[in-house]
Amino acid sequence: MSTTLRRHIISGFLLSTLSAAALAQQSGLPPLNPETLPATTSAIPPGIQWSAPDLGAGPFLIESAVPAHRELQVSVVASGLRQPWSIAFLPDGAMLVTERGGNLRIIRNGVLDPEPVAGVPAVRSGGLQGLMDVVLHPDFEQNRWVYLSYHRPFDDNLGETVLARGVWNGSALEDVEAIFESGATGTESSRIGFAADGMLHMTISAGGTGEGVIRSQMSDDYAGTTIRLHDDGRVPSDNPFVGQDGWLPAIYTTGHRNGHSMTLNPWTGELWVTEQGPNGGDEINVLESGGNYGWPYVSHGRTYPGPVVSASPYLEGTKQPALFWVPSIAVTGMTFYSGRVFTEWEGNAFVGGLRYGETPRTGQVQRIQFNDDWEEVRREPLLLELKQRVRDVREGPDGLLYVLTAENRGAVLRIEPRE
Amino acid sequence: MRGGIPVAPSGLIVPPLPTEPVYYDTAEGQDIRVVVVARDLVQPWSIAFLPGGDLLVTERPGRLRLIRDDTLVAEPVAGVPEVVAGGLSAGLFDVVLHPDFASNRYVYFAYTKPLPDEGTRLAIARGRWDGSQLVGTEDVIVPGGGAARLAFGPDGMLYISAGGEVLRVTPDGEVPPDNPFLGVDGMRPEAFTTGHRSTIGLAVHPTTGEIWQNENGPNGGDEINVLKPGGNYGWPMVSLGRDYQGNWHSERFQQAGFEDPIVYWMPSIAVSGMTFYTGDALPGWKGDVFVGGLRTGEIPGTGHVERILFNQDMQELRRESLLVDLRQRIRDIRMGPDELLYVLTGEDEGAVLRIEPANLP
Repeated sequence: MSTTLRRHIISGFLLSTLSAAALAQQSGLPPLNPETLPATTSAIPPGIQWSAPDLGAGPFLIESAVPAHRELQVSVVASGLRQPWSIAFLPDGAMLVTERGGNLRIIRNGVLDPEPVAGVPAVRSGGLQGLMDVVLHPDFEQNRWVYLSYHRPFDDNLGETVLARGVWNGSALEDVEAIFESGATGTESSRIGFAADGMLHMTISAGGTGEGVIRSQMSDDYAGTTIRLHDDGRVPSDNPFVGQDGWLPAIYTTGHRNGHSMTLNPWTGELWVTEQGPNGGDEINVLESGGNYGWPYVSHGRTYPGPVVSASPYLEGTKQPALFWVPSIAVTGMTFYSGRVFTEWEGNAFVGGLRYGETPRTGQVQRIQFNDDWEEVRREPLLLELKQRVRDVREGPDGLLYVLTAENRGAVLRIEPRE
Repeated sequence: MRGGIPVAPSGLIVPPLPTEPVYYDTAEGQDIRVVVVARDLVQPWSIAFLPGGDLLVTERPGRLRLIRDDTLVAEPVAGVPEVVAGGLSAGLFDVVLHPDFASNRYVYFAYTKPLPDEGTRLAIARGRWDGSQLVGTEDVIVPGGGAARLAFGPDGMLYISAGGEVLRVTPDGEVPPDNPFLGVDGMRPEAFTTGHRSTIGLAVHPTTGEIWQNENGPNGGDEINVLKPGGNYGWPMVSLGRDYQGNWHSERFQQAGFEDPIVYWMPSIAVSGMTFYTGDALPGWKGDVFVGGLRTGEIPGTGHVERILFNQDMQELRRESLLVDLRQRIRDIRMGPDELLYVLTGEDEGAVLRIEPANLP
């Protein structure tokens, strides 16, 4: 990306609300009223500082509501991980785990290698930034490609969202190169996923509060969007905004606050993206090319000081979520479950949650059950008793569910049938 | 497997209530313990606190019970008329004392009344407490409806949830001259608000005097509403919830002319009784709103108490789930005169629980 364009985007971060209104009009939406923007400076009552208790060695006996899977246990696969963020399963049974601080770790035969995996680029970590997702190419067996999303150090230590690709040599990443440089700094979470057509999608999150929230509605800023790329980072010519004046070409959808999953629904071929609202208004959105998902105009949530984000969750021209949470669970990673081991959970979605209702020690996994039209019929909280923040939940090649705890003393957990 | 969604969902297995106090750390630094005050109550529905420390508890099948010195008196309280019980919407429901109970000894309760033609009708009755039973029991109003909550407002009026409405009548059951629908065609004069689904909580805000009401949505869309005279709260035209089979109940959650809730839940917790905590015994919770929940996300075994913290404008800031591990359906929660919280479990083997500070002697 050219320095000129990058500078332009950085200045976009500091845009006055006046020009934001102009941009909004350009996109066909009404002007944004600054007074309805989520506040940053209001007197917020102090949040609760109450860190998670020690996890312990496990296994932990838990129960689920489905009789066939009533008795379960949660094993600690690995502990001593610092803010683990994502997990990828290598064909040989090893697991790659990102730590937000910038290390890529490997777990072989249930043992966490004390040495980080070599070859990871320099990462700017701090706050919600750092090393994010790790995903294997669908044809990994042939091409050995591993994808990483992360924040690359940038001016003023803001961190720019970048997507990199490297080759797995059996113990390290080689030939790592940035294949997509967003130019967007001050961003938050990024998840990566491959669509059914082989295209690579990624979330690029805007800051959650403050003036920067307008970035989610700006056509020349990747913050607050999802993007769509070829697997080498090139922009597909059939992307929805390619060739449109003022639009960045990789944008696939806009109006996101953030994106904490990029999950292919294997039954429908759709990409499902979890999104954290502020205080209430967590969502699952089903991506449609060119869709605007409404943030920060509309939300089911409140801002942290209490007022609602929008008097109505509806705005013509913006899409409604498929599911939402009030209060928030601070929804994180998601997986659709195959039913390989837990047969009665086939077609259920599992999501992670950091905390319920802005209250610490309420992290969980939620199981969501659907009808034949993919409309939800039940949600079951799981793992509440562990009182750990949950960053991600994935199905392993063994058909078991792997859970990452979002803690400084984080762990990889596995949900198993009870022995 | 997706599809073939069972009508009666499976759930978590509910363990017996513990015999020893259960201790919890909670998020505001309020350490608590939970004790079982009385058990062997069948579907206890509501609780009223008599001067002197006695508790009156309704059982949905039709009995009024007395708890004296933390002991359930074996014999039901006499003076309750015949009650028709059945399902969730027929039986004995709320029990409240008249605000001037000290002088008039009136106890009000809601029940399903048998009619001479073998039909039934929701009735609100009152009797005078003579120290061990109700005497002179008489119906005050027979409005019809299912389960009903009662609350006396700061205006001295009796508010009754009945059949999709909240009614407002004098303590004698008469229509006050300032009711909002008086003379409005097609509306009964007792009506105060309309468009409710199933009200399970009514409480009076301790400083504003507003009537707070909560109601169960179907699958999602539980609400807390602040009642405005003449307000229409939207059901069944608008709801934030899904129908049980998964489709959204209404295309939109809002529509002009309908009042919005001030708090809602997605997914539902099957919100039940509600109270404002105004005491000093649990100082970390002063000013918070407490509600019961029967189950979360349509999963049995996930009932709990929820605490809601508001800012000065009564906009919510956080919610905390409490007593989750007990897996009990929670039917009601009230603050007692001892400033402790009393919790009723909505189970066939139901109980009265008390939330106390962990360090209470």
